[in-house]
Amino acid sequence: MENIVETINLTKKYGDKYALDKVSVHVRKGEIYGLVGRNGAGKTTLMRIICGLSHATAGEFKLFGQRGDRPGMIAQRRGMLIEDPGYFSEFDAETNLRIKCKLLGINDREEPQRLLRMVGLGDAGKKKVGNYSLGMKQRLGIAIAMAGNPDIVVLDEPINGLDPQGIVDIREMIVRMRKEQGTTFIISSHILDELSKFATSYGIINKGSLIMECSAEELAEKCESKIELKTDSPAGAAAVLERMGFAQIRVQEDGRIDIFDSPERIGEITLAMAGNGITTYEMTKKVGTIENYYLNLVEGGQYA
Amino acid sequence: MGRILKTDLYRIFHGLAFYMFPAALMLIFILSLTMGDEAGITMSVEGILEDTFVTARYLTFMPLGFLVTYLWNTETRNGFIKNIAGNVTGRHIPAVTKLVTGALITVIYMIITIGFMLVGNLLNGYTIVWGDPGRSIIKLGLWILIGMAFVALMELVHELTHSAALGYILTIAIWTGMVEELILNIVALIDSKIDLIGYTLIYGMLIEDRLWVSLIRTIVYLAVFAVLAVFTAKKRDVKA
Repeated sequence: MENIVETINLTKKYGDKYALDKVSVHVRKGEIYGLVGRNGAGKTTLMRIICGLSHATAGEFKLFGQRGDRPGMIAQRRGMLIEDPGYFSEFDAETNLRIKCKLLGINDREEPQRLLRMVGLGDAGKKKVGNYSLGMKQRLGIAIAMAGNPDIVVLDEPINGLDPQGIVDIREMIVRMRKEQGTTFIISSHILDELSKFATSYGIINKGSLIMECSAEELAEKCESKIELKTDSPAGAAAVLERMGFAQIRVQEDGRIDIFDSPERIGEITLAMAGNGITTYEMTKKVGTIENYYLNLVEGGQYA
Repeated sequence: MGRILKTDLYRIFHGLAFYMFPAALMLIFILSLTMGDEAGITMSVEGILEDTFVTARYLTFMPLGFLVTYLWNTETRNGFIKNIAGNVTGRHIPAVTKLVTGALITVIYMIITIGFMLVGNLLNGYTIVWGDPGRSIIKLGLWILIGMAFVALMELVHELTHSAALGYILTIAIWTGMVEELILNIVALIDSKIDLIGYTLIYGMLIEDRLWVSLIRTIVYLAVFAVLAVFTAKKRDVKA
């Protein structure tokens, strides 16, 4: 499938510090690409470069197959909500959207109302945006980003400040736009379980480096449940498990063995341990989450 | 660039800030009408333009500085600048558009100021004569160019610092003559033989016998500030 965004060894330095270090991401057409990482990991820097707001120190990126730092007319095919929603507090929502529409050369006078209805602000009326709640401001920011039906939309923490209904509305809107218009999204979020409900692929960034890029299916596999096994002989148990064909096992320092593949074979393991004279003290099946997987990935395995 | 310009003008004309200067001018105009009847005095257009510059320092250029500082810093603070910068084909375009918008506001404000000056003189009973039209046109052009050069300087300061406070302070310091006084005094301390008065925006440009020189110097100021502002904007990341 065609790459809408591709970065090649993208690097950004502030002084001696690397905000991004040779990051290569691949976002394909129609994907919802979840960008995951802690504060200061480099997510926003990457988004800013993709959106033409920052210069890369080294490396390059492509937008729709063309050089991203010289986007020409394709610049208008991207929408963004990065850090601030970009509205004027002294105007109402419709005037704010009219300003964005003028910027994009959209003459359809109905477009601002369509966008407002899309984000659930159809009844906002003439209320000045400065008097909006945080959630309403966030919805308006998303509407501004969506003006002109861009082919790619970059959203930095779009569900921040939204109530549960707002989160569902925005998620459904993103999924609908992807399905109906083929819009590609790059979305960063700290709420990983929420992101996992609609992201189709992921890039995980830590300390300026991309540590993993995978599809949602691949990540789901990696987040699968595991079996924790405690026995009187960790070495002996590990050998038995290997003979049984378990490939993804990890012996922890305290002697506990984590078994990541085939958790449905829990009964078989019990019998095998007993059959080899190994006493089982404890065996627990644990359900994995994307959050735990992410934390294990960046912190090094202390999260169950 | 045309679309950004239209967007800027839409925002400016729909906001209150643009109208505060004409409103203040109207107030002063009404007050001046109550100050008495001075029928019989003859004023040339050139003379009115001369008066205009004195008035304009405080009532046109200062509000102009406040307005552009407010407009540019608002779009930086609220993040709207990212919508602009992310939708253009070149990074220099938003900066060039700011210069064009600033120049347009300068012209509009100058027309309003001159309009009030003419009407005010007529209502006060003055007789208006043409005088020397050539010099009047040069003076009008000079005032407008001074305004544009000032806008370019303000944009350069904005692109370098993104500080609204500095923009407001600098506006006051320039048009009250503090900046020029400071520069002249520092230069005099270094070498008393150096005379820079002819190069100053306020004092130097008003020297009657070298209007053309002033015109050319102002164009040079405008070009230097504009090029530096656009170059700075092009090279730096979009701040917000």
